[in-house]
Amino acid sequence: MTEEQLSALLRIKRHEQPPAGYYDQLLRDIHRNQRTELLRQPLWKIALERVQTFFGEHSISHTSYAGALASVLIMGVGAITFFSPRASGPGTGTAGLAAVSPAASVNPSVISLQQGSAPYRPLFERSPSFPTAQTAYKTPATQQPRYIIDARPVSYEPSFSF
Amino acid sequence: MQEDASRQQDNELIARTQAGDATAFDELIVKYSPRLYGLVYNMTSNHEDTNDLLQDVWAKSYRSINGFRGQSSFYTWIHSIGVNMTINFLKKRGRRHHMSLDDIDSGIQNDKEFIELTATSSPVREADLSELQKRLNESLQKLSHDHRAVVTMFDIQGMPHAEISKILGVSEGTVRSRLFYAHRQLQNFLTEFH
Repeated sequence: MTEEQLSALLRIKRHEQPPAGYYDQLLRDIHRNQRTELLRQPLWKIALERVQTFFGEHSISHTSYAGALASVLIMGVGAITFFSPRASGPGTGTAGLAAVSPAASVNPSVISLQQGSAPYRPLFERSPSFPTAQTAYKTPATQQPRYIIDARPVSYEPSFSF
Repeated sequence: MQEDASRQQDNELIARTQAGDATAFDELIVKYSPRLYGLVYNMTSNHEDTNDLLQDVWAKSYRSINGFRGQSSFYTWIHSIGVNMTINFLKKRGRRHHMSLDDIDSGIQNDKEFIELTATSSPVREADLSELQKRLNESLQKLSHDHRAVVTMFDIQGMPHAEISKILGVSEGTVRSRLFYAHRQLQNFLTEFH
């Protein structure tokens, strides 16, 4: 077989094409695969893409975009800080709770066992004409009296300090 | 002139795709799929593999389209992706392959070029048409992946040497050398048949 015959034989292979309608089906398959691939993305990536699209559609500059993201971040951190319970430090937390506890402030049964310290007295004497917390609110029988030993109030709740 | 217009049209479609217009990419798929099909199919000799590879090639090109800077034509770029993915696929597939070329080759017998060839060339005229096709396909499969790629692009698709060298990332000399060697091999395989 000569070079020319071989070339001619190979050249006719360019006319080999798939059945009619193949390319339409190919396009549909590609679209389907694209959709499937899109759905396989993690949620955060989809969310990020939507945010980017939103800012892109509204012609917001990159600086504003960064500023907006920073604001969202700061608000998020602020919200978390505001709504999270305050951590209790030594000498302030439980002692503070004991000081503001209605039982401790109005109940004269709080007894100081500290040597030399004065017994509990309310800071301001209330007028007998006004109802006190003690009269308005009856302490439940199950509530235990609180004691302070070595300037540390005794609590019946777990301290969670390790 | 026509080539420039085609390239200009491609650049517009690419710009639209990069801006998020997916229908522009569909137009590129419609435009280049027949040529890509010919390239991949003549290298794999299997319709199902070609179909899967074409989908992968277009998916990859869509993901990478934002990185396309127009340093080469889209035609060269998409063919580079197609050839590289097909060669990688063939390396993985190894020797496991099944021919399905006969399913599609039936249209060739009505082709003008083929009729002329079989009418004027006495050795070919004597040979059975389908047997000759089968033998040619088998011979192509005996070539290495790189040689088959060059034969497919030059002889079957009619690409110039310069374009093939860009697609494969090798020199034109390498392309010519591979072609020469591949033709020799094919001639030997087919001479045994006569």
